[in-house]
Amino acid sequence: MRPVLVALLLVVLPLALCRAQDVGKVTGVVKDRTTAAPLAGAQVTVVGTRLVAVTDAAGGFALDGIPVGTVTLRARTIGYGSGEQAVSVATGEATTADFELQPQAVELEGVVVVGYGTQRRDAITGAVASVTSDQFVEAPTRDAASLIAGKIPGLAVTTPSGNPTAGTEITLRGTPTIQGPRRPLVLVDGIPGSLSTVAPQDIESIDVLKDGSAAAIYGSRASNGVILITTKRNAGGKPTIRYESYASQQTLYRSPDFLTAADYRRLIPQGYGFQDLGYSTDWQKLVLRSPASATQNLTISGGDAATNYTGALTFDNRQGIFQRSDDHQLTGRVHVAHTMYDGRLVADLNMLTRVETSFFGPDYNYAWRQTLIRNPTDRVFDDQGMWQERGTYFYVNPLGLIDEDNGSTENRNLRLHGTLTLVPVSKLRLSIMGGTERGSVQQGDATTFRHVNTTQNGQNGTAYRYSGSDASKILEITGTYADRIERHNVNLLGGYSYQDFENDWFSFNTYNFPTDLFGTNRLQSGDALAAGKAGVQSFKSSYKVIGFFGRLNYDWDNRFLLMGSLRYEGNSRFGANHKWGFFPAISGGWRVSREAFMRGAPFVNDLKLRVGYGVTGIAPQNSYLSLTSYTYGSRFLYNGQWVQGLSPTRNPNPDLRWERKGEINLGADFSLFDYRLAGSLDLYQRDTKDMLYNYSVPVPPYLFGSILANVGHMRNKGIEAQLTYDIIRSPAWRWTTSANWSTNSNRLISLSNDVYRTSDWFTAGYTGEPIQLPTHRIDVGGPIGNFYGYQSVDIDSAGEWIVLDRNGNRIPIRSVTLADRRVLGNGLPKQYAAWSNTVRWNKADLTVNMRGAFGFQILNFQRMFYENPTILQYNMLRSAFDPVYGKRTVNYSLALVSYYIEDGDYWKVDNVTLGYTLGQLRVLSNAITNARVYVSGRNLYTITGYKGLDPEVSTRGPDGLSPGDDLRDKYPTTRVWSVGLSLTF
Amino acid sequence: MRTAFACLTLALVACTDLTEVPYGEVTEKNVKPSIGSLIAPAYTPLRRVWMGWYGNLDFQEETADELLTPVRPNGWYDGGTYISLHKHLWDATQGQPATLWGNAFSGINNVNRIIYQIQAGVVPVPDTSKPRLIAELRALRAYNYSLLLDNFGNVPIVTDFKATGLPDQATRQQVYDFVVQELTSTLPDLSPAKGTAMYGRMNRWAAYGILARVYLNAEVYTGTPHYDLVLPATQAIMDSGGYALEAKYRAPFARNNDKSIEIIWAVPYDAINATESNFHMKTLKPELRFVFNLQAQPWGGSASNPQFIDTYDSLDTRLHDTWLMGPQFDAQGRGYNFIERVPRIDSTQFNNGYPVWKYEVYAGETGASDVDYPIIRYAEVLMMRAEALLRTGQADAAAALVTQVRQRAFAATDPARAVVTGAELMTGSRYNYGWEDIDGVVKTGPGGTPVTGGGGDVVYGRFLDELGWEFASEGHRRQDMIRFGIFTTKTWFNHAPNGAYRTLFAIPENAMTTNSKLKQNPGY
Repeated sequence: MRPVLVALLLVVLPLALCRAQDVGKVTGVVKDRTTAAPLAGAQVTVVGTRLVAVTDAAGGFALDGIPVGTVTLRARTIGYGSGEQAVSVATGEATTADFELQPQAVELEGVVVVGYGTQRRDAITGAVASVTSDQFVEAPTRDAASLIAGKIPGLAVTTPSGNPTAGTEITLRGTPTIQGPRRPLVLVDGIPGSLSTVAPQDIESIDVLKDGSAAAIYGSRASNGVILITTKRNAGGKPTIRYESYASQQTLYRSPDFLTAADYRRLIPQGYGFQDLGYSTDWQKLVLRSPASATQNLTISGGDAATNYTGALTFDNRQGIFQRSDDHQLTGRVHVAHTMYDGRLVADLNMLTRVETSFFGPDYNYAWRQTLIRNPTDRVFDDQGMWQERGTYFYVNPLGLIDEDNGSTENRNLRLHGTLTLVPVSKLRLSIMGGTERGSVQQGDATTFRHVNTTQNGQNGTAYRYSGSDASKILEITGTYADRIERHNVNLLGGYSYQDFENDWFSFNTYNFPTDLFGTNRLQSGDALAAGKAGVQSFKSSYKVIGFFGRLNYDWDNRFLLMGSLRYEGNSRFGANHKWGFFPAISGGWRVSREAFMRGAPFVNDLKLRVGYGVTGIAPQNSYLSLTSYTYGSRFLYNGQWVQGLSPTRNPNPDLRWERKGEINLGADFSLFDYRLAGSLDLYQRDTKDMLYNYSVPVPPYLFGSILANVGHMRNKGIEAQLTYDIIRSPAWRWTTSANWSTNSNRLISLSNDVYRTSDWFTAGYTGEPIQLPTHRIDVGGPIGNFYGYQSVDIDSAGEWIVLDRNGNRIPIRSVTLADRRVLGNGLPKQYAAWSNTVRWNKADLTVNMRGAFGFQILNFQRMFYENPTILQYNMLRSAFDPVYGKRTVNYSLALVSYYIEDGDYWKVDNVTLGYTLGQLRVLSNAITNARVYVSGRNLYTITGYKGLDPEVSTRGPDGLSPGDDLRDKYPTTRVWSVGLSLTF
Repeated sequence: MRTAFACLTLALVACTDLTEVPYGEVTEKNVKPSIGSLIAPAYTPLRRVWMGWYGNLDFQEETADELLTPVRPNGWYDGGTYISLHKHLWDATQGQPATLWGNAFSGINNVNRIIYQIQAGVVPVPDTSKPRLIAELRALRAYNYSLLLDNFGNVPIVTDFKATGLPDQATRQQVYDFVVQELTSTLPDLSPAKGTAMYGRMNRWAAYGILARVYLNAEVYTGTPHYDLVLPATQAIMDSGGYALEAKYRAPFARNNDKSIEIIWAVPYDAINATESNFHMKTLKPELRFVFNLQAQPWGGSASNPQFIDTYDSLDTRLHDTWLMGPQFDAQGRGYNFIERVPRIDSTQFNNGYPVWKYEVYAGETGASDVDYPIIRYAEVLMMRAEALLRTGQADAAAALVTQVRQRAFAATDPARAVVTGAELMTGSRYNYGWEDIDGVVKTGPGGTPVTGGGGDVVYGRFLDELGWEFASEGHRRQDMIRFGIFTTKTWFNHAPNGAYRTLFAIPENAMTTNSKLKQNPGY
């Protein structure tokens, strides 16, 4: 570190002696090139400085304090290509510069964030998608991914749960791994974070590095794609305050249709042995509520040529659909940038803090099950005023579960980062970034004496506390060199990256309290501790990732584009024999539209062909997997004393390393007909080799029956397409429509080698009790996601299933064996599509976002469990009395049969937003320079044949390999309506 | 300058150092365990072998004619695994044998490792303690092999921890020879101590007991009977003094059975320290939680086969001592009235069949029981000896021992009925083998003609009945039925014979996949 600082000082000191320059002024107007209408809200910047101005309602702008000489001005606004012109500025004088901007369905010249820097969109050679804040889904969000749901082909964002604290589920270009992590690498302003690190309101743009050639610069963490989040930062200009707020209301997207007390009383005389307990209770109504949520965001920004600042506070109050499921988040963010010595030294300071407090205690998934299956003729309280319990197997009063369990989870996160950038000569930039992130979780809950833990299990109050912390440090040193010699453009990047991570946690649970008044605040009163029955655990682990990287971008005449990058990266989690690895990438592009022969096709505004190949990795999930070590554990009675045995911890694997994904990508980008029609097409094939899997091995010679090793090979290939068209361009109207489509096919090519062998198939997923069968089967040579169970074809007169046996013969289900199970469909959508429309009419705008998934099946657990009129001790769906196969109701125990596997295809109106931009308000002495109001709905309507609650189900399942399992305890999804307001002062 | 260079070098090294730092694991150079910690991993897998999930108590009983896990209102279809056990439909993927294979080899591998670590001086053990400790570990390993011998027959014999490469398969004869050789050669070095010091561990008398059991089944294992060798082994235990029958049949199965004089070798379980015992959760029914004030809700699976219950003498108090029968309700009326009838294996209510009551159920019991499992108890020593005598033409001497074991079972009802004669032991079984149809009548098959005296042809059948009554739900039944030749020939409840090769289980699929040198057992 010290040598670096000394070097910096040596360069900086002489610069400090430079004298401040003289300045001038530029004014002008920005207009639409085709309609000549003035463009309000366009940004005009002086390239290479932080000077910026925003146009007023008449399109006018004024820029002050510009250094004299020739400078380049750039004007840009949403939906238009940017304009640039050179302007001569003289001391103390005002120069005029007007801009006419070309409307574009997709902006071509925009700047896209790529690894360790930015690049002009037209020079990109990899598969990189970029979504800016004006295209974000404007509705209450779960996390950053909600903003871009349906916006990027190949990136599936699903929201399978209605839990306000649950995030989204992201799948980029299929399933690349069996046991490796699935999370994409998320970088917030270049620093690893998560999709919930910053408040969605603070995000300016989200860029996704989809293919291997673009992502390879991030090495062993990049196989699931890289998502680059850029926060809103003030670029300079006058002090501004922006206030944004919205309030929302949720309802259950669809209510499961269970029997009511009246149904019970109608069915009992028909011979169904339901128990009529004499009351009428709508359990769903009691457990659910009409949650109201609200979000407030306040952003201040300002600065001058030397110093810029942005500060933001977001308070997010989310209520879940279940009673008590509250969640509050407070996010604060400060960014200060300081420019010195004529722009030769820039210092950035970034602070981000987030506190999230949510209600914790009851397992809402389980409470939801109890709500559904509870007898509707039962009552809430018994004669003593206690929760009415019945003691049946796994049958508990859901209201008692929720009301008698009190606790909270508090997540705190603090990120501090600083960057020092030095420009010793104009073509060279040296940058050092360092920082730290610290997250902590405090969690605890306690059950009262009225909870079933006490009333049924005799535990006399239970209490639990957990505290955990994650800390990481980062240091990155990068240098870039950019030069242009005639028509050769060169951009070189080199760097070093160090990041370490430390995780530790502590948990304690106890019971048997003299009173339930203490909650989690006096654990020592729980006598289970003295009885040796309390649980205590603590844990700590750490790991490091270190990388060296370089990249060359070259283009000739902005016509032939070439990118080559290499990362040499090590991860402490890898085995001793494979600590380090190389991650190379190369890609090239040809801007056909810049060729002379294309002049004959003037309707082609832009056409670029791309090809790229890159290698990325996935590291194992946990530390120490390669080590030989021992652990104290299982106790043994030795001479009357219980002593802890010392055993080997695992089968060590010194060859443990990253999963290696090689990906080839072919792509084309085009813009046609006066930039009205723009689009892109990508074809890819990604091969994950050395794929991690837990192999069964013989004991002896191995210590344990399984070892994690790099053996398998998985392939995903697919096509992605996007088209955007400006349907109407007029001064009053602008209607842009955009559609995308993607398809992916997945195949597990091999899973064995000479050392590690498996059978040629394995199972995944789980029905749970009482069926207790896996739901999925993965064959070597086949895809992930195949459902596996008995193929029902009919029902016999006794109400028992007729299924096909392994040879395709019809047999009664009573005589099946496990070998008669068959593949019954696949839970991974083969195709995703989305279509969004934005219509602007003067100050009003309407956005409709729709998306869908096709070519997949869903195992409807609710029907499998609750469409069976033989299980009379639990409530069931009304449809249990519909004839099966048009014949009669089921009279057999629960079974995993294909009757419950349904086509999941859906087309969803995901979001509709109607907004009105008021512009400057003539109140408070015109202090409000802009105002906007909108109403918005989310998850509004779905076209589907699926009979369950919502066909947007998890594409992974709890074990990552059981997509399409619509679990019976799923936290139900909701429909959200909101109204929002934003004011700029 | 030199300092600056050193600084830079240091920085570079620190900037590329990827050594892992574990915080909760012991690296090899710090391994210095106590003797107890050292040998613990050799014993702890036995806890999963017996009373644990998918343990021996399940499948040594449910493949036989005493115990069932029928489908219950809350489940227990479990992918058909229990129906497969009952109907002898299992294949190489059956979970319970695979569990035994894994646990036995885990125990064996740990023994090999610990012996290696002692002999190579990796862990410090005083030279004077080494022979006894190594003898104990070898005998324990031999016990694990005796389980593999009984269930799989042809398994790899591995004794060298440092051997790499896939182990070779041995024949059942070789495994038998190995077990006998290891037990007989370690006997002199094994500790003769009884009581707390060796409780739960392999002492000399435990080794004699295992040896006797292996000899008793020698004909099944090798084709050559060795009943003659059962006699000296059992004699050694009887002569050792200190072991005796408890006055109460349930005493060896009480919560405090670690003090029982009847137990020669046990697997110690503990609700806090050794929590693998959950068979009580499997056999008790959910609402019995209220009846017995349990701190966990039982899962409600296993229960008695009615045909076996029918064999009991009504005055034999072992019937009520082994099975939970009749009305069992708490003050609020929660509970069940358990009845003998079980309609069929794939559909029952909770009250069909009697839950196992042999192992003490106590107030406050959680999902892990405190009751230790007796691997060998004195009654078995007497009964092994009796069977060896019976099979070597000394029926009256055998009858005297059987009578001795029976006495406590009739002490409270009709002590005279405890007496059996040699002639009685030579008769067939009282068990009415045949298909128990849905109407509760035992028939030749579903819908067939009613059967009476279906066990009359079983040679020494009456002695097998005695074993059944005395050792019900102790995990002996499969072995006993094989030895008496009826495991794969008789029909009971919803089971019909399904192949003589089923006296051995298939070598688990996992083992077959991972060791290409293994050959599957015949028939699978």
